[in-house]
Amino acid sequence: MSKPTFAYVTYIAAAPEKVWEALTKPDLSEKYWFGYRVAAEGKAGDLMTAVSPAGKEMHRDPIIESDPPRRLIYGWKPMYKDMPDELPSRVTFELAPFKGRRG
Amino acid sequence: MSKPKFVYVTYIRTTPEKLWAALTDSQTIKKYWFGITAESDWKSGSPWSLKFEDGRTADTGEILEADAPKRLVIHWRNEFKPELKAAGFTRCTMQIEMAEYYPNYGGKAVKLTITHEAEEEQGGPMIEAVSGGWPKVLSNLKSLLESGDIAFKA
Repeated sequence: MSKPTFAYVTYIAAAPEKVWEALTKPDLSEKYWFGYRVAAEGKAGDLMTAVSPAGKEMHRDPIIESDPPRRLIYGWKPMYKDMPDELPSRVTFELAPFKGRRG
Repeated sequence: MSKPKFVYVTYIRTTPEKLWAALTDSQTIKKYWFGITAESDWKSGSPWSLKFEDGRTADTGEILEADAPKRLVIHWRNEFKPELKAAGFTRCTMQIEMAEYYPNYGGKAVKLTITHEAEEEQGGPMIEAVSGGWPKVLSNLKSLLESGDIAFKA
């Protein structure tokens, strides 16, 4: 039986490098991730970390693959008090430039 | 066996009224839908179609429900690709709601949910096709409403 998967595609008028920065730098993630500072600047084997607006650590997950600015994969097991038995999952970001031009 | 279905949610910094207007105005649709225009008076029971710039019909159907600015339901079949036309009629629901409001993070936004489902058992190919199309069209719609410009041209 195949494992549950959620896939979401969006098109953004920005260079792949910019999107990569926004996905990996806490100063940027804070702006769109409802105050969460998410850092994933390392390479495979390093950590993805996330800190809540209240300053609590919510993630310490392994970076599984980091191929900037094309592909980022990290583990996902949030450290919420009310989810102690949450099984780990994984998040894959694939960034592909598109051929079109703006407006 | 459950019928094929595609669901896509996006949050847009706009009002329900502006989003409804963008979804139901032919000239606006042309801007974010890669040159395609929609023809309809957007009333329940009325015919609806999508047309290419050269006048050929892309898709046809009718408006099943039109409850501005909350809910639009379209009966929808592809016309120009034989394998998609053979997939039969589908039902596309566009639901507009206010997003959860986070006062410290950017103000009010609208949540748009597109549910596109097959009505026939053989509807799979059509749902697969729209699964690729909706993220493109809705990304352009979101960019247009938020920034005044679409995200990309095909």
